[in-house]
Amino acid sequence: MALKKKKYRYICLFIPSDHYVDPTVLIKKICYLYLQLFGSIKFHTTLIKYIHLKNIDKRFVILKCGLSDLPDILLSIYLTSCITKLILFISGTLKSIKNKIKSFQKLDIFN
Amino acid sequence: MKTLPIKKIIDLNTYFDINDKIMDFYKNFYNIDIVGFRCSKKTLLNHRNSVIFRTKNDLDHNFEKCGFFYLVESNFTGNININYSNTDIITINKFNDVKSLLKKLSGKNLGIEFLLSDLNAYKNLEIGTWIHTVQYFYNLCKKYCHQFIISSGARNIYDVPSSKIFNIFLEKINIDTDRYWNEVNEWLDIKKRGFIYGP
Repeated sequence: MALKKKKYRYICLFIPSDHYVDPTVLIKKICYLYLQLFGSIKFHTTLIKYIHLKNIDKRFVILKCGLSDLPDILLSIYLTSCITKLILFISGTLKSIKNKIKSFQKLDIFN
Repeated sequence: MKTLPIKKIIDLNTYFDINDKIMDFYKNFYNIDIVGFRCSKKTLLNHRNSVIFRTKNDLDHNFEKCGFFYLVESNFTGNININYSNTDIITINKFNDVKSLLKKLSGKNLGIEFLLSDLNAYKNLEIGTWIHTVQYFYNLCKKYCHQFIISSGARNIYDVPSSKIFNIFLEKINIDTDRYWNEVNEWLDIKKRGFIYGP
């Protein structure tokens, strides 16, 4: 029997320049909260990781995680209150994330 | 089972100035249709129907209320002897004696509001307790005919959760999201009797 392919989602966060946090620190804080909220066994199925994209503003941080764990990951990101961030959008492809970033930059609220 | 159509996603409690650009952001990126606020700046020109003005019972804000649908708010800090007449919505800041309060005001169809921003005061390991307690109060609101409401209580734009985050919280509290949003919309429609039309 063929293994079912795991589906992923990309989460785009916006961190304002004056609150810049290194993405690895951000991931650590989110994972720490996730571990405390949902436990170690669930955490190891999330496969959360930071995605580095070229030609993208440093203020945008893109994370990748399993689709099935998306709600719990979003909850952990939202509750990581020590970091100033916006959870901008969730998408299935990086191409779509890039397009949405462009439309967000046009908004001109955070510049 | 027939599912109800989702009406509008509402965040009834924010503590910062909202302007048209921020409202555009809410609508386009967060799918939030209506926002409750209490600032006095008249910077909202294009989104008057998307905001609800909140005012304290003891303040006269008639001028500022003009043109906005408004709700009279009170905070519950553990004292059930406060008079809540003319109040539309009570924000629960402390969980002590909430049951007695709901029982005392039984049948008045008040909005009983819990803030996600309160979670900032909780340690990580206590967040489950908050969810469990709020779930208990949701059932009490049903029992005593009040409208259970979850709001952000955001102090700045970065604290505002998207509609997705609201729905995740509702699911964690074991509330059917479609049903919840429909109930809140219907409750707001009932409260619209207080609308003051501007000049």
